[in-house]
Amino acid sequence: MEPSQIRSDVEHPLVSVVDDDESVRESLPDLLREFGFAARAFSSPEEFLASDAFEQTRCLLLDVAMPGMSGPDLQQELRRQRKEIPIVFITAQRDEAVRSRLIEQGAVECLFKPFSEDDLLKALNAALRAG
Amino acid sequence: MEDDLSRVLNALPVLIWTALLDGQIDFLNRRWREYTGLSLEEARGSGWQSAIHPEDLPGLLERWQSILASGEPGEIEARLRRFDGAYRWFLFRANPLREEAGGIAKWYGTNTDIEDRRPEEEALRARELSWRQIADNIPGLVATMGAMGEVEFLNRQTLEYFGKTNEELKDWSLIGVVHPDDLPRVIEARTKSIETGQLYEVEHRCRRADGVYRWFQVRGLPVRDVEGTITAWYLLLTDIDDLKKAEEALQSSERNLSLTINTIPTLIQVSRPDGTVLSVNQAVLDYYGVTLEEMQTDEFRSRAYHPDDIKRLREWRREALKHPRRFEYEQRALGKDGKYRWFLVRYNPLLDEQGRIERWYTTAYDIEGRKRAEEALRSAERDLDLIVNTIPALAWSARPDGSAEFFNRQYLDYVGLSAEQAGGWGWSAAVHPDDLEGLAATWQRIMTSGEPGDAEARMRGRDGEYRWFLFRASPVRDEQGNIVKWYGTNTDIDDRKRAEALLAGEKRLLEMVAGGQTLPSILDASCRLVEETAGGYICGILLLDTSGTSVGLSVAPSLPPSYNEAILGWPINLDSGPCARASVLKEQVIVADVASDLQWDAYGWRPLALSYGLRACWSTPILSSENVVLGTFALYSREPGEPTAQLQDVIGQMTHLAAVVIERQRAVERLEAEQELLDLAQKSARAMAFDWYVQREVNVWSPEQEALYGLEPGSFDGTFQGWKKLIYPPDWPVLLKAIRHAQETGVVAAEFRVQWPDGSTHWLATNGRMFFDERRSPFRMVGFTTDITPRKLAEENLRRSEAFLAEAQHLSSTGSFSWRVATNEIIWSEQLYRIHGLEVGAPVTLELIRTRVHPEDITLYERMVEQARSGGSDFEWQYRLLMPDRSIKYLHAVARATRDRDGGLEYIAAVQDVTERRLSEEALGNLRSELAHVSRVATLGTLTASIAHEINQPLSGIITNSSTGLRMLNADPPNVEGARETARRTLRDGNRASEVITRLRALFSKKEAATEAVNLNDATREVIALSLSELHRSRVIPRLELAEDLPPVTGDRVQLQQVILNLLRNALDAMEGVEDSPTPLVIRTERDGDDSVRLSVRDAGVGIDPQAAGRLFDAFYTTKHAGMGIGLSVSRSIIDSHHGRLWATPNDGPGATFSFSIPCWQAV
Repeated sequence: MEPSQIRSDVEHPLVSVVDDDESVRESLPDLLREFGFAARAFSSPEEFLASDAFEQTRCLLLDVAMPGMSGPDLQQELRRQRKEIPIVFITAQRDEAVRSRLIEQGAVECLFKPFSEDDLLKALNAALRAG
Repeated sequence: MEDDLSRVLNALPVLIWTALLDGQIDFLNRRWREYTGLSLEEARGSGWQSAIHPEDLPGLLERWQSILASGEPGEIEARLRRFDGAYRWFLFRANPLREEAGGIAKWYGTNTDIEDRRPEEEALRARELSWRQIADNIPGLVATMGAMGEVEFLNRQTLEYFGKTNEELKDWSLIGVVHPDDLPRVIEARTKSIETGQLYEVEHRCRRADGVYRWFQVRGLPVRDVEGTITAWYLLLTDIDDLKKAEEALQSSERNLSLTINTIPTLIQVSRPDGTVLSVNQAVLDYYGVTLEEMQTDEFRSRAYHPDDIKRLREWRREALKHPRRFEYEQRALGKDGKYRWFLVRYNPLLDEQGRIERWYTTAYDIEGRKRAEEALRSAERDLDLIVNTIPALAWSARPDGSAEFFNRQYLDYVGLSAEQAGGWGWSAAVHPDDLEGLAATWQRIMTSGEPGDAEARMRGRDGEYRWFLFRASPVRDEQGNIVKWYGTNTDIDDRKRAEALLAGEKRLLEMVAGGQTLPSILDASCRLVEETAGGYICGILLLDTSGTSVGLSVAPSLPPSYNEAILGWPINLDSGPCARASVLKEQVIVADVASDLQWDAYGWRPLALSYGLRACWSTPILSSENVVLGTFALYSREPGEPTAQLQDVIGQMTHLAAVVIERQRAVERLEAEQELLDLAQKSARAMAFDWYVQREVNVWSPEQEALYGLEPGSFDGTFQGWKKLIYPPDWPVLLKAIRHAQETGVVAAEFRVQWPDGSTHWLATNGRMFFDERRSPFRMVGFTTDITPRKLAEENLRRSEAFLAEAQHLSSTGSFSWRVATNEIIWSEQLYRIHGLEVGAPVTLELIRTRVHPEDITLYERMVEQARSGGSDFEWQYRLLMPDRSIKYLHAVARATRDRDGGLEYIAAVQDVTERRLSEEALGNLRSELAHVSRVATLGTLTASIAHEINQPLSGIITNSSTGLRMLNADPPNVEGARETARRTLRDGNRASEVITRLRALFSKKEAATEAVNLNDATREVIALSLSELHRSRVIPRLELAEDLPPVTGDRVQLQQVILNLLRNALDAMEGVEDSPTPLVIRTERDGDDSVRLSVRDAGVGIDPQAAGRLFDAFYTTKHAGMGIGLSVSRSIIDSHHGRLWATPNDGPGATFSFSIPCWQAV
């Protein structure tokens, strides 16, 4: 590993976005980069697990409902592999019951789409502190 | 034989015994008994054990048991007590004697004295005793000789036997010792042995001291020195005299046997393994009249045996001779008398120890008698066959198991089967299916009983007609009483059966008569009876009306009612029909072929009969006991022809029976009518009567008469004024007029109204007679009154109805018409003219109507007219009129076929203008689909969550992109390019949201979900009921498989119905365009586990595209051209909110099944 990459890792923690919605995958990483994070987007948990980002991700912005593996499924899988990546769920389904259950199960936060910049930042900070 | 054996065994110089299988000794030979001093009785069974040394007995018995158990030979040593009490060691040996089958038949045993061989004692004796002593103690005669035969030593027993001293016997001259006859052999043997040094063994007689010769076996063993040179001979002389005697006995019995063999008439022959003759008995020689030598020539064989048999048997016999197995054959042999006789020839092999054939023992039994019997039997069978095939009955035979093996020609001809087809159980195919089971059971019972028996059943002839047969079977037994065969006959009892059936039927009919049944029902039953009996014919009975000029009653149960209706009232004369002619002539009329018999056209009987498919008619008059024609009895056939004699019998019987029934019934009816009249007359006279003495003003009324005027009994005062008051005033003039009429004519008749005290009016009719005195003044009026209010009301109603009808036709837009087909005479009601827009009263023709019929319905119209002309049955049709103003009218016509007075076909029809109804139906249909649409939309309130999801996605993109864009623009330097990109995305996501909104524009209302117990079956039925018109349009009839006792579920009834409707509509859409689906649409409810209920909708449509399966339930996903793609999504939302699940599975066959499962209702 190059020293520059280590520095970059420290200065620009990698936030990975996993969402099957293309517009989210396009827009969210740009915003994250504006915030100063490194960002990568994946269309499914499977794609994320198969990538090298898996090792470097400091925080996961994770959609709840997706075809194939769902967000909570990925959360389970990470726990099984003992990878403690802080997770912020993002969902278009405004359901408080779901939100509290996800947080109960270890998510740092669950944001309902559309969410504000501030809410996103707060959640990310909380996640990075937790990580 | 047993005795012979005993004798032989007794003769043997060895201790011998035999034992049974259980070890019990049953025989001990004389030597054994003499040795032990026990008698046979003492020793037999277990008695012999007393002769065994006590110390040895347990071991011996144990060993004996184990030998018995093993079945194998065995031995043991034990001490046996001699008659003098001394014990000696014996070897007990036991051998099983086996039967051919291998089982043990008996045990044989020997006891051999081995006292001298006991090893421990042998050693002792060797030390103690000299050779002489040994020799002296050997239980036999022992001698030694020098190399050249000179006697050296003789033991004591030898000296004792010969009664000579050692010295005397030294120069063994043999003479005087050996029997003179044996001497040459002895010398020869001895000389030879001495010369060759071989074992010397010879049997000869030796002279005992007392001069008696006894047979001895003399064995001489050479003693050699180390060089092998013979130095001496040891001789052992064993007394075998007893054995010799036994052998002699045996030889003598062999001679006897030979004698026997030669005297018995059986031909016996001994031959070599290759079959060539060695010897034969006398019977053989006598039979052929040849010598043994002649027999042994080849020429003999070819001459003595029948050429056919030689040819037939040569190879076979040669082959059989190769195998050591018994074989036999039958052949003819030529006797010396020049005649052939049959013999059963049996070869028995005599085998040597290696199992090779040593000799063949052959017997030949004369079986000529048997052969002749067989031949006779065969010829008898041939005769039987001939007889059986010529007798006029169906005959058969069966094997003991009941399967048939033979049928005579008549049988096969009758059933039309080949012998192969009928064989076994094949014949049963010809038995009537209804009778087969019973027949099989009876046959089984007969076979089980082994006794003759019979059964009745119908058998189909080759012409396909069934006739009744009596099946009779008797067993044939062999000499042992075993059943070898069943012989049977089938006798045609069809006529008898018919007669029985007819008789039973007649009895039934007479019972019906006695039971007071109506005449038509009895005649109906009569016809059916004849049809059953005759088979294949149609029966009809006509009764003349009272005037005898027309048909008063027609009964033909197998013809359509319209036939009887057509015949009713038919005129009776010579030409109007066969039945009519038969009535007129009082004799049978046969119409053999209706189609060609043109004389019946005058009154249209021929076409009528043909139209009902009647091709022959045989009509017989039914005559009363006074020879008056009551009617006719007719048989009709679908084929041209004349009645058979058998049918004529039936007709004769039935005609007679019908006459009896009709006369009797008529008499009963007449009697009943008269009785009724009488009753009525009496009742009338007594009841509603009045008796008015006009001059005295005394009017006597019965209570019934008073009741008719609404009065209490006895309350009428009897005055003229009192009566007048009771009359409804407007009718009083009518009565006055009637009274005047009565005064002129004496006849009292009037119809009038009375007013009851309660104010109601009642119609009365009075009839009576007025009597006059000599001055022609009325003095008395007698009559009776009846209440005719109901009739009057009916008349009134009728008048009113007639008036109403015209109005009703007008109001209901219903017209009517009548149409006489033969004359094309059409009469329309006024309303029908109006419906057609034609001038009332204008002459109507089919052509005129045609001008009004809608062009598209012209074909339909013409087909209808055509059908009506030929059919003669009711019809109903719908068609359109195209009016001159181009407007369209929908008409619905219902026509009923009737007969006019002349028997011609006439239709009476009602035609309704259903245009308005049709239009309103269409309007209703449109409204319904609107409603369905609204209903679909209304429940979209439950979609909120889905909608939110759909909109939140693009909104999220918009906000994120906007934030990013702002940040990019605020950066230093501003990232304009990046911001432009985010703005573009914002735009795109905005459009996306807008699209969603567009698609949701119709969704507006939200309904609160109710929670109640819902019966899914009822909910399903309601949905089906609501969707009927849609289902009909789709030409799909759903099949409901609704589980009984389905528990209710928890939910919102309307929402669940929306789901069912969605699934149903989804299925219909999927099946649209799928033609002639073999499996219908199925809606099924059932329990799903303990606490859920499942409903599934199975369609036979296009099925699920696997690629789309994952998106089926997504909102706005649709594969349809029409529709919003929210049906399944909504359904899933609804089912989710009911805590259930909704899923789709592809069918095994075509289509897919959509199911949901929701929890049962939990009562709180």
